Amino acid sequence: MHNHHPSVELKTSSSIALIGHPNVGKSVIFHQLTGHYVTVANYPGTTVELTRGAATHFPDTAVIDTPGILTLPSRTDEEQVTAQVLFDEPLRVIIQVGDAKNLRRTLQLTLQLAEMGIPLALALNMMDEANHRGVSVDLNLLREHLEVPVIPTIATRGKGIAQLIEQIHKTQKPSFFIQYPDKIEHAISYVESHLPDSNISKRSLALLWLGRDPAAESWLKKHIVSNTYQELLNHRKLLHETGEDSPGTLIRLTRMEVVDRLVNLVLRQTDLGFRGTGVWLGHLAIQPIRGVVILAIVLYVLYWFVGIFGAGILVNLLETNLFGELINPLVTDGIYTIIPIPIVADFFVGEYGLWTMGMTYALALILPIVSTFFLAFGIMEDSGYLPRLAVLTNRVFRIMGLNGKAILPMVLGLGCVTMATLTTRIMENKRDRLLVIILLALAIPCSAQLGIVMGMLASVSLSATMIWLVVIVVVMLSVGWLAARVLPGERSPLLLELPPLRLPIMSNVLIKTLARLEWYLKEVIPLFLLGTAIMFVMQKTGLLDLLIQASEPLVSGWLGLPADASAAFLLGFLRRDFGATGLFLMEAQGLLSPVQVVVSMVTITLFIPCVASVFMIGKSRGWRTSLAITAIVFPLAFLVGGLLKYLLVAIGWGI
Amino acid sequence: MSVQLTKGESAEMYIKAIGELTLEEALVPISTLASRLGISPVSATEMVHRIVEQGLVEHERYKGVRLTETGKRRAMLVLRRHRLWERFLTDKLKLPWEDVHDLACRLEHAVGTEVIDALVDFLDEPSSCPHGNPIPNSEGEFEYSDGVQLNTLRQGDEGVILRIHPESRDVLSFLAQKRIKPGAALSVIDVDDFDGLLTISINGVDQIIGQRIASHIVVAA
Amino acid sequence: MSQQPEADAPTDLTIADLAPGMEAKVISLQAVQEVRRERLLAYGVAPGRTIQVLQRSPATILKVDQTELAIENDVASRITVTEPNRMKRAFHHGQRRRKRRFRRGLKFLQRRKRNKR
Repeated sequence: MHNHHPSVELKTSSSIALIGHPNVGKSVIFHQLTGHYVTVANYPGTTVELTRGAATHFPDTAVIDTPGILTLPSRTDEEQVTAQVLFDEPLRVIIQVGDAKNLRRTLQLTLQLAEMGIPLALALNMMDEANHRGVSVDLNLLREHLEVPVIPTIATRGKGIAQLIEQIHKTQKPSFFIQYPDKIEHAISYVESHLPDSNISKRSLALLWLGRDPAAESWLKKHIVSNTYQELLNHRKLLHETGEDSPGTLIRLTRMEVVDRLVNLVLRQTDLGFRGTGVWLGHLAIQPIRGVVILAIVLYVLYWFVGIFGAGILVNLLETNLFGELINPLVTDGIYTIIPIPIVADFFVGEYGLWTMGMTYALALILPIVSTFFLAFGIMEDSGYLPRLAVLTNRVFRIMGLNGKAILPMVLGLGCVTMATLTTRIMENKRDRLLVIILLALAIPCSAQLGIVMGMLASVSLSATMIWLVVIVVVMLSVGWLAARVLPGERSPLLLELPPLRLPIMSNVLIKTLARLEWYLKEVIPLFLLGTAIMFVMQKTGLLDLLIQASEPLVSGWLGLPADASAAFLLGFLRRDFGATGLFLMEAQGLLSPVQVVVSMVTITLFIPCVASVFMIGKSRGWRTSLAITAIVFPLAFLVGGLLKYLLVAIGWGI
Repeated sequence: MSVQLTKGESAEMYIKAIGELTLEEALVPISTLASRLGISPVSATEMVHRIVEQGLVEHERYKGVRLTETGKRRAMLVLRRHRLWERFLTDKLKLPWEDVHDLACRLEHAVGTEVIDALVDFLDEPSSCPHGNPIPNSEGEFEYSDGVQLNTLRQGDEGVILRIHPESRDVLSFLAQKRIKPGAALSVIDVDDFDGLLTISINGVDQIIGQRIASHIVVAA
Repeated sequence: MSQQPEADAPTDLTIADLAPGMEAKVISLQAVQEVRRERLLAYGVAPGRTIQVLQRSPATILKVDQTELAIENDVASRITVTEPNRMKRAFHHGQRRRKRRFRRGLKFLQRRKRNKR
């Protein structure tokens, strides 16, 4: 997820890294140690890049929030980002954030981190959830065996954080030692003798190398001569060929044995498991039929809150009453008196004026819709519903050669496609990521646009909404189906952890909504103003009329829309919600018939999302990909829009 | 395996459950009743309506249910049968302490007064069930000694376990594992201020237990 | 990983053969592709560990310790397990439905085994 606070390069001599499994609360603890806010949600993969903040309690020290790691040696992109931190950062302390209720998994990582020889503290988080399940840990015994400070925390409620800060001062290099099988021990000493000094102990670097960690490999490539690197490679290859189990597996099994013994010592069933409403609902939400019923309810509430309340009531209040009757007349009069030159005044308050169009669009139309969406989405995120949605929709995504995990970036795409493009990293491989990006660019409208689309379609009829929905889904499925067959590579089946359903903490949701809004507006308003300025220039120079004329065969002829709609589509090149807003105003003035509404909405939905997202795709997947996607999406949008028009006219819908 | 219950029998289950829960509070919320019986609140509400019609309980909207005099009498008689069977199963058949509660749940509806009277004689009129709960007499009356829930004790407090209440298979098998049974003397060594875990010394062994399970253990302080 | 634990008699049962509510011990994940095998191991689906199947459709939902995992049936059918034990808790009236479902599951299992032979 995007980091809302621009990460400033902090000039610090040392840093504290927060490391742990996905969805254990690293970002919440980061917030408490730095006062900075990072987007947090109840699903794995929320943090996909590093976030730095100055530690409040430690002078001259940065705190680094890392993406969750499931396996180390790292396998995914995000895990590599975290592994990189271990090699490159001057780490003073590692704080492992662990899940108290999944002690085995937590300790597996603790042992690995302890081997690295960097001072370590274990924050055993989510003690409340462990408690609910009747599980508790003998902390003193655990401390004694690990020789590492272990601090129980409930980060969301700030419990145990003070103790954690206090313990950070006292951390020491851990002395925990695991004896591996002879074969591995021999290999370790051979590799160690070739290794240069690094932040982590030679032993643990050797272990990562033997486990084929890509981050360790690229670090070594940079720091040793190529002959030595080749020797190490040959040695490892030989090791792989002898014996049944790979060195990585042997190392893992040895650690698992140690962890098992440790867990048997310290883990206690001290209470009854408590099956609360959360567990019950969590299971209900993934059942074939009842799960779909719940999904329908969720969607309806979302539709009501964003489509009716946000896009209807709030927009009406702001656009017509506040801006239309109060602010805009005032501003217009003011500008005309201050600036007597009409063309300059028009630039601010004319038909395509920076204020009357740009800012009014952004503040009166987009803001209420986006706010309601981000609020609703925040609640959905924090509740842990989204991974369950992934289970429920897995079969649909299967058609498109994906697994249900793709629903996470897709739903986020409803908030903002640019943000979502970043999160595609949670997909297993490059092929899946590319597929999701194509679908995002094509068929997922962002909330601003969705709000407008929903609002407009709702004002026509329910069947209009259904037609729009069916067309978009059909286009998405068939493009996905085709793309999955064209792109090389294999589909990866679903393998996803379901975090417990939690009651969202409202303050958390609100902070997140505000942070997202801030980010969004910073991105949107400049683009809106730029778009308005371009339109203004084009109108004054007569270029606009020319373009409208030029695109008339396409817009009026093929799509059957009024000629003025061309302007909206031009704006759509900049941001498709901007284009949709233009159409919204046209409809409000009664310029569009029901068929025209549906056709224009389908076309604008299938448009490329916005300039920003094209940049983001270019940055993450390369410019050729970005161009190729754009080149496919535009013609497709018009093709589908036109075909739909002929179909609707042919069956006599909406007359 | 399990006996199909007739309507009358499941009414008995309901009033028995309400009777058990009334020891603590006058009105039993339907949600509490539902979770005690392991059913959904919806079906509990339906059944409650039925037994309200039979005049066994009174229902106060949004607050809960309370037994009527008739209901109370019948509930106590079911409890009497239940607890007598528990005694029989543990004392005479030597069945495990933690299993007899479920078994007795099935036997309690099965036989008439004459068998129960014979059982009382056979068992020599026991006053409490193996889990420490009092056995009502044939008039539905019983006596029991006051105690406090273990989770209300503080560090350093000592006491003797009076009874396990309310009983359920989960609770009983958990306690059996840790050998926490009525009659045992215990002392509270520590109450964790982070998660409320109690460290108690019982039978010369330290045990750590959570708040929820501790609330099922009634202790004479 | 490659050698099966001796204590558990080899069966050809996989997680995909278990009905909801059943518990079994994992024998081997050898047939799972390596990338996914490593992730499953990290989640705790490892030889010798007990897993419980909570649900079979639309995907297999597993419980390992306190972790709930959703895996596709294709993956589930590559993880071999021991004979499932009987469902542990079946008491009181509310559980009757679960028990019935469990018994149906047993029949399903016997059928599956017969077909495999």
